[in-house]
Amino acid sequence: MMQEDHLQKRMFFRRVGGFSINQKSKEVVKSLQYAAELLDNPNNLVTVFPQGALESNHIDEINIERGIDYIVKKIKGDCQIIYYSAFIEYFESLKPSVYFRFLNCGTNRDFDFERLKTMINDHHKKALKEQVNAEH
Amino acid sequence: MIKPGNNFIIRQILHFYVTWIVWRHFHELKFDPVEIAPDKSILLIANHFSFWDSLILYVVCRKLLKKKFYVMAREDTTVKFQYVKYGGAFSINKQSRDMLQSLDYAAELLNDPQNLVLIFPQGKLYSNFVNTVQFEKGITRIMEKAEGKFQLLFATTFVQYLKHKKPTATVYLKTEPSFSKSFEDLKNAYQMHYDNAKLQQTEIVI
Repeated sequence: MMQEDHLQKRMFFRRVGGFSINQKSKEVVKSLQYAAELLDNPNNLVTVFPQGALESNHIDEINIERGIDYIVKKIKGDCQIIYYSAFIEYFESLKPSVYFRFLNCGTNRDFDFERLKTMINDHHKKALKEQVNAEH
Repeated sequence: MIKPGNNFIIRQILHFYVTWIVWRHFHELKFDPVEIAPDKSILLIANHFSFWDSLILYVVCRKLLKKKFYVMAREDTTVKFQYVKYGGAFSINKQSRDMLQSLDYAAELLNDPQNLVLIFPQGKLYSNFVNTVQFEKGITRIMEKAEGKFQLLFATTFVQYLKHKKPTATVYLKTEPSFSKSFEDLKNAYQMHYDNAKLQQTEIVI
């Protein structure tokens, strides 16, 4: 799921699974609905950035928009929810490394929006701490 | 201790090489202008998170500060990459008695107003995501030895991608006027600058 203005500049992303969302338009529900439909099929994976905007890699508070709540509640099949924090660092190399830190957020069957928010923020803070002590 | 090499041709080649790889690797290199005293050398204190930060600050030095660039580097790095000494690197080894010699050499360089000495007081590579910047004690010896001869300049660098394929490096610079400070004062002053820079960096939303 991509911001509409970002996708419009790079339309080829549609060919590899990109679909748009525009928070300011009435169609926002359509995009969320579409994401939920995709998730009905157990063979699909949908990447959603719940922050709803590109934010700095250095923030310690993850802002989560309500859209994710809507999507998960609309899913009819079974779906697992995974969050990850990614950090990009160089250390001794001239090429960057990406450090992914995953968190299992449960399934759509036992979903609670407020719980997801705290889970993600706690995880992100922990991930930042681990990142600072990362081996290199 | 390994001293900087003095070979004009190799230095020129390195100059073009460093400017080129920084230009090629980064989408943009951002920094704000600062007031530079022409009759003083510059002691540049910066955070250390990768090999890139010396290269970034080298470019900033050539573009903005217009001084001769020197950088204090760990001995193992200087041994491994022999050519860095031609770019102005001199070595320090915390475990050896040579250490004082390196610190005094840095102070000596600061006596010449044409020079800039870059020091990473953290003493080793830390993550770009740290909240507190570690300081090793050596820096105060340099500042005492060269007191009055140099201008103190803080630099904090952050690298981020945001909407571009290539990363953007943002260097936050700040001159620190009164520099006859104790170790704790210096550390706190740098930390304040670092916190401020980080705040500005995290306010970016696209």
